Amino acid sequence: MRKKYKFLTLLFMFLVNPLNIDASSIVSTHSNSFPLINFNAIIQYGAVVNDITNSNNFSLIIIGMVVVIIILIGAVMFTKK
Amino acid sequence: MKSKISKERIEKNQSYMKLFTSICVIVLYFIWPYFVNSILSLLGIKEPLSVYLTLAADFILMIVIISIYFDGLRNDFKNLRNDFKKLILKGGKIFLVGFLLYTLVSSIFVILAPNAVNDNANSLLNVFDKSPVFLFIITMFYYPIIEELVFKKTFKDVLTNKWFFIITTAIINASFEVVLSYQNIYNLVNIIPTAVFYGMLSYIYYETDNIFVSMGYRMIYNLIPFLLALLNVAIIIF
Repeated sequence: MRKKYKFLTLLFMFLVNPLNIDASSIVSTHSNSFPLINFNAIIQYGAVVNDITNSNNFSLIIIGMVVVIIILIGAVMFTKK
Repeated sequence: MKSKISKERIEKNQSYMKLFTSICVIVLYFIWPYFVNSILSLLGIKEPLSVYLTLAADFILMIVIISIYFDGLRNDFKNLRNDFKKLILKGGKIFLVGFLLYTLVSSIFVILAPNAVNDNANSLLNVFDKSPVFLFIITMFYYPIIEELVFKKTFKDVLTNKWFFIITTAIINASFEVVLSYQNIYNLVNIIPTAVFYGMLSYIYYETDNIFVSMGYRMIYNLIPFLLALLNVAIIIF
């Protein structure tokens, strides 16, 4: 395939992924290729993903928020003395 | 004497104002997705339109939080422009050392807990299956900007001690990342290596005193798994 068409195909795949390729296979592929440094453990996104449809997450969010607020208030109270 | 008392009072009021702002930002950040979701449900909007509207709502939240911290961000941007090379190099050194440390800790945890899976990474790879562009936008722009503001700037305004700030923000950010996506209680061990990664970003922010540097390095880091996933697609095609 000519380079131009390869690039366009790749771009198309990038935009819509019509074959519905399982991207998670990249993790296992690279884990097998690099057995000493497990890519599954290292290559991950720095992002907090919250599944709002999970009802447990709402309770966890409330608990987390309360803990964070207590830490912040505590820090202000103690550092200003 | 009088001026000293009034100065102390002003400082105290300022710290209370910062605390109030920080709490408002944190509450807004966590409640917003539920608020948006309830409105979409009320209007009966379903996928795929709801996905794009949620993305738009996320960016609205980002703009709101940016506007809250606008003055500080403007100063940071000015400093970044003036000392770009110095700040990037300083951040880069910490990033490299931190990334090596993170790799080491992660590898140790892989040996100690081989069955522990990072469910957060898997859920994001599922987003890649649906729409790579969507994943690119949220991981390159939305998450780095909003999380650095919420989990770093919010805390730095209140926590003055260096190590208390770094450790607290690292643990909180890592806990939210792992706890909100875990499928198995065993996977919670991932909090420790993840905290090392976030600690590195907090250290970058503390040392450079510029939020754009830590944002930039988080963007670079997030680009790696995205490029790997894209590479996988390319390998399958060709």
